[in-house]
Amino acid sequence: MSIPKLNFKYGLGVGFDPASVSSPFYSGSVPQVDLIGRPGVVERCVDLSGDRVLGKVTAELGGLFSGGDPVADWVRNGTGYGLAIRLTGNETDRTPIRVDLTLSPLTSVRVLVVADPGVRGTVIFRRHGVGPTVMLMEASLGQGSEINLVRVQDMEGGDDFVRLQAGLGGQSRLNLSECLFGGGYSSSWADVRLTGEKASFHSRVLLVGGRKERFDIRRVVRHLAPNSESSMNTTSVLTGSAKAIDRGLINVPFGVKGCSGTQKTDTLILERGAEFVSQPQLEVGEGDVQCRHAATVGHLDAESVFYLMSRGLTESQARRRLVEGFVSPMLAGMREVGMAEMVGCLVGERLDSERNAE
Amino acid sequence: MRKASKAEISRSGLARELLKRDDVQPEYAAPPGLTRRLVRDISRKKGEPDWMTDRRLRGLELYLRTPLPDWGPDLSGLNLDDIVYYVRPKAGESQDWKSVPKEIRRTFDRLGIPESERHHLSGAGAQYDSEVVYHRLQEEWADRGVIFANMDEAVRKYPDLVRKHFMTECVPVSDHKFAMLHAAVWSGGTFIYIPPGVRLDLPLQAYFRMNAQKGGQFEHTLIIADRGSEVEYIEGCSAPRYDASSLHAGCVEIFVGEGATVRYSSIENWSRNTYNLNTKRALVDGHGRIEWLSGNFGSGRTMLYPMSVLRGRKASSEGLGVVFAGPGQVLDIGSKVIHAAPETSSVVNSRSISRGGGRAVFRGLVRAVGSADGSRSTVSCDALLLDGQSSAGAYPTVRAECPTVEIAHEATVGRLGEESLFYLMSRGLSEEEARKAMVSGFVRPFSRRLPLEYAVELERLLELEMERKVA
Repeated sequence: MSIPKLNFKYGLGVGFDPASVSSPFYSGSVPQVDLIGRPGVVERCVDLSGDRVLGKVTAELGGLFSGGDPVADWVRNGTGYGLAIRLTGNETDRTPIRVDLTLSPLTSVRVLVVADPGVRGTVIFRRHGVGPTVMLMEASLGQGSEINLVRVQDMEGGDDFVRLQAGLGGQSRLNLSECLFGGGYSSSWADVRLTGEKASFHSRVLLVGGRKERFDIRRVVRHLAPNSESSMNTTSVLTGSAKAIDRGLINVPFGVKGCSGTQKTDTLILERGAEFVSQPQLEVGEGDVQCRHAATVGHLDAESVFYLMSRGLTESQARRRLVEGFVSPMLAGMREVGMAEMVGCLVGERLDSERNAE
Repeated sequence: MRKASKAEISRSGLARELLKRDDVQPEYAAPPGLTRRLVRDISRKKGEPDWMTDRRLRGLELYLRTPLPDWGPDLSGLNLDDIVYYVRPKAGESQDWKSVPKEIRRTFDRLGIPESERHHLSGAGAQYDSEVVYHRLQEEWADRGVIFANMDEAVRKYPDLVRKHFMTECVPVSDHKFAMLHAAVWSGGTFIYIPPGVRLDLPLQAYFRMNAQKGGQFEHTLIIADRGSEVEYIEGCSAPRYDASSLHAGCVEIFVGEGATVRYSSIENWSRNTYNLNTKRALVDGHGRIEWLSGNFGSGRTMLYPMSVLRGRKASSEGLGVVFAGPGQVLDIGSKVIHAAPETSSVVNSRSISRGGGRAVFRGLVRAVGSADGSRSTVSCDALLLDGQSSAGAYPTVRAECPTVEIAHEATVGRLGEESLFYLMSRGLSEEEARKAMVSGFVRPFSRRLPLEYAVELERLLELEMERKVA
């Protein structure tokens, strides 16, 4: 199989270039996909290159991606593995679907999430292993549906690319929660189109980076229907010489009235050498809107550390408590989808490993 | 702030009148387009030393091989081959107002120069197209070593100071496409040197008028505030309206010494056919302070991002700006601050108003480098959309490379609050009056910092813009 020629441009100038890979791009191994939850609504893991393609569902794959993104093109143009999840049936059934993905390096997986009108549900993706890997997700939400998409990335190393494109129907709601704890270079982009009236998108990203890890977060929200709503929150804790860039764009074209959009980024830099770049952007062509963004970058307050130490904690315990306090609003959000405990443990593990590395 | 008198308001109400063309023929106008020969000609006519000619030629060389920026507002309507890069008016520089030609004098008289000079300025300058026609500093300050001179004259009279500071460290010739162009064809402008410890209690002012059709104005302002000094400098700009595009690509370089303070205020009211692609930057040493106050009303396209490089401990900067984008205007304006030393601080506050299809964009950068321990920065930008056809954008970047900095940024885009409007109308104001009052309040943080005469002009300009909306 020939490898497509690509010209990658990363925000921080790092990452891998698939064109430089000399072996065939796909390793050929089937990704380990464990589906926990209700098998009835997970169509099945499909091999997109073979005969077992799910005709109706996969016909929708690629429909939202308009091209131009080299990572998406790279996956779309090649063969690979896909996972189609259709949420149907009982509106009140909230049992989460959990997908554990341990992909071999140099593999890609495509995921399609379709929510039928009025459905509510939660899909959790957990990523382990070593990159580079690519995950291409498409989400299509029917009228009045509500989906929680949760992604917990806890990779040991390598690069991890995630691209999400979502189209939201009227009065639907997509809650995207991402927790990023590792990987050499983690790139998570989401392009969301609010196409139905009163559709809403809410993104939460918790990022704990250390060593020489690189993170590239990008969110683009297009308000294409009146009274649509969006919010984007990113909380980052950076140690070692980790670097992160967080970009967000809220776009409201002319004539789309009554929309509201907010972006918020809070960052804690714990060590010299860590670096954070925030680029929140507003593009508003309509007067009848309320859009805002805010960004803060700070460090641990020495007085607070001193106070906790005066109460008997060691310095590292005090620092850890303060960091936990900083990320607690994000953990509270995770509680809604039953992930608070696991994410809390991962934060703790991460901070411990950084301390041990010192 | 004291209330403006009727006479002051009436004088400042000339804003729109200034968009009419003056009946003044230039003494010499170079043919359109930019060539090596033209650059040499400009340098020769000004009797410049070789180093300046070389600097111009280097700028030209870099300019010719640098593409136009691929971001920001659309500049495709600007035909750079059609611009007249050097226009000399029929007047030499004078220190006596009466010897300035009558036609030119009339324009500046309408602006209140030199009447303002007598009452509330330490010195005043006036540039017409490519050349300075008037420059005068009060004797008291000249005796204390203050230099306030035409930039062309400064190149000859103070070669060491100018050679060291002119487009070297602050805005290098290679900075960007229009800085390169500026280096090649710059003409006129102001040179200010404030000796150590001297504090000017009244501002210095310069006014730039671009009258020639398809003209270009490339004035250079160089301010050196030595250790512990203080100065306020005010610039005003205008141009008449033509069918063809004109270009303003000035450059302002400010050196703020240890413990010095410079306040730079400008109100730019170019006509709608003007491309205003200006560069302004300050290097601030320890305990120094730079304050940028800018009001942008005119021009069809503006790209302007005043920048402060805080390179000494406890240096600080403050940027306050107001932008009014009307029909057909795209004003891409912002602010950049580089925290390059410990305990530096910065505040950026931008307010924009868009109406009638105008587009106001805030584009900013705050960067704290690794050595900027204990630095703080606050950025806020608010955009007001007065109707459905207008648009606003905010593209700020925050870059923190130091673990002990605190940076906060916030931006909002919205319209006039219906409830506030209703409240004012319930107190007896008409809807039009209520809207005016709210817009006036929206820009108040900026206008109250301006000298009275400029605050009045700003208020009047806003009023006119609002009236046009209502009409």
